[in-house]
Amino acid sequence: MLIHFENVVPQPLHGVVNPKSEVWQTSLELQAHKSYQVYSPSGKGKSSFLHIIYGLRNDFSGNVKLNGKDTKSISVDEWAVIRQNQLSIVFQDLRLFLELTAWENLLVKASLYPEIKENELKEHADFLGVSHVLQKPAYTLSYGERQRIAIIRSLIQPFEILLLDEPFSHLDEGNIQKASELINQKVKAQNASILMTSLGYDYHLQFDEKKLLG
Amino acid sequence: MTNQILSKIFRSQKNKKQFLFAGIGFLLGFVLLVSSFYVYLQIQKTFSNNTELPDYLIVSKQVTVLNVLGASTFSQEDLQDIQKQPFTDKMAAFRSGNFKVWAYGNDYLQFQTELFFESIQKEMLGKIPNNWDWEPTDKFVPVIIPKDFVDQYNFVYAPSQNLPLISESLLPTFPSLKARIYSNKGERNIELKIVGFEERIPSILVPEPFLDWANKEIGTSETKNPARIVIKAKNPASPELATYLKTKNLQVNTEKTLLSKIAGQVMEVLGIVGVLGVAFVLLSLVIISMSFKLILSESKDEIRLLMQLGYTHQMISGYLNKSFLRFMAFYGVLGIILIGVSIYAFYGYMQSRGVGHLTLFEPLVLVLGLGFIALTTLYNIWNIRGLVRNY
Repeated sequence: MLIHFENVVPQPLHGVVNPKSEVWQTSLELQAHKSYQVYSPSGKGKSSFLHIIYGLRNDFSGNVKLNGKDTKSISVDEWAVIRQNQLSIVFQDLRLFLELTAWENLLVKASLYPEIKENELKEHADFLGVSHVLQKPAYTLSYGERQRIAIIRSLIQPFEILLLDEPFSHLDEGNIQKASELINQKVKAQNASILMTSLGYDYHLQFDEKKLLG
Repeated sequence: MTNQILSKIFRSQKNKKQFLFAGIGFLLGFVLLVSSFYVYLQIQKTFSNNTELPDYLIVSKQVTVLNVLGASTFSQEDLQDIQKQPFTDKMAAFRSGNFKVWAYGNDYLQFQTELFFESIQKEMLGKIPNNWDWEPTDKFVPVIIPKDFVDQYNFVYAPSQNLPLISESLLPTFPSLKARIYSNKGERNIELKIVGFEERIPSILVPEPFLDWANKEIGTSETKNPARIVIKAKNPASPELATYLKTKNLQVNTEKTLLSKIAGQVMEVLGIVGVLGVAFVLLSLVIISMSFKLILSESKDEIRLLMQLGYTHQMISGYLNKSFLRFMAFYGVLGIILIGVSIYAFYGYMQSRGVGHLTLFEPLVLVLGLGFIALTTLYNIWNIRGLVRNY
């Protein structure tokens, strides 16, 4: 999927955009099958950047195009299709259903894809060391455990680009390594790419380009 | 699979309670509305002119100081005038015997009494007995006696004298009564056979051919004007009838008019019950849709997150509609069963009270019930769609 940003400035950043930014108030093209890292210190709009691409916010000037189509003209139904098949995301705030168990949280996503095998999900949970918490309500899980559930959930669906919003913020080095390995494996299998925001670390993922956000 | 997950998200304990209350509200309103509509239809049927129960009025002139000497009878003009009135369906005059009757009873029933015979057209009888006819060669003269006589005999006289009770089914086996009819022209001995009871006409009735014969044979020749007439009214509750009776100084056996008064009151009460039913129903409609709105707005974040995860709003409102339809199916069927039971109970009760002309099944009631369910369902589905689309 081709993503094009033209003179985009989110509402909260009006007038305070860093002129060195390679994303805001300039022309930016993210090509298909290329992985990008967008880095900046906190408060420069990393989440806003991903949410704009994912269609969650429209409070920006300029325009954003997905495969040539202006995001503001994409209908709710079209967004649903894009989110089912082309874009997957790990939210910074994770966004799990806290009342449901970890396993049910995975099923919320998996039930959209009848071909998904539950065994595979269990293997992933095993690999990331969260299989023992699968039957517990999500609100009882530690943030690190929730983060790993959110990562597994994002890998269930088919996608062209995986959007990662500081996905490893609460994981230790060992878990980061494992999570990165799982992500790499899934991305390669789907011939997809990664678009990650971070404070500037690569972790264990490969990027074709890095862009300074602000 | 999707629905299982969605039901986990939406079906909290709190929601269940709300649905229960909404369901009870719906049930109350639904049952009240539909059953009072049924009862309303039945009562309307009972008191409208197209009923099987004939609307007979027995009319006589009021006896006053002025007309005590013979003017209390109906002249030919009076009768023609009544016949012309719009409320009159049929009219017949009572004819009376111009002779005296003395009855003796039989072995069972030992009594002697003077009697008085009248006759009326067959069509005016509530129930025409099988052998309601007479020829001079017949051994017995059939008579119909007032039901009130029979009741008095059965409940007062017979128990105190250790006599057998009489009932309509026992009449064929009931022995005949001897009687003598006489005047200054002569006398005849006859045997009377009771063939039926009459609820409305408080008189001892004989077939018209017998009265003709007896009047000719031994009656004093003068033909008197009738003192009482029977009017079969198209609608006894019609105001024209009431005004006519009042201006002509006529009196009516009051039972019928009392009944229509009662009917009026019952209709009023039912009207109130019906209004209450509608109020309940509206209230329950509001409760149901409010419950749904509340459930939806409490689940606003969940709905948003589902859409962020790739769910379409059709999937979500589809699920909510399905669970609403299940709700409606459950309470709708429950309501229909309750209505069926209450209608059946009402019908059975009325039957046991002798009101036999009601119908158990009313298509209009079914139409109202189903229409109401359909309306509630459509309104809420439309409601859900609108709400989910807005998130």
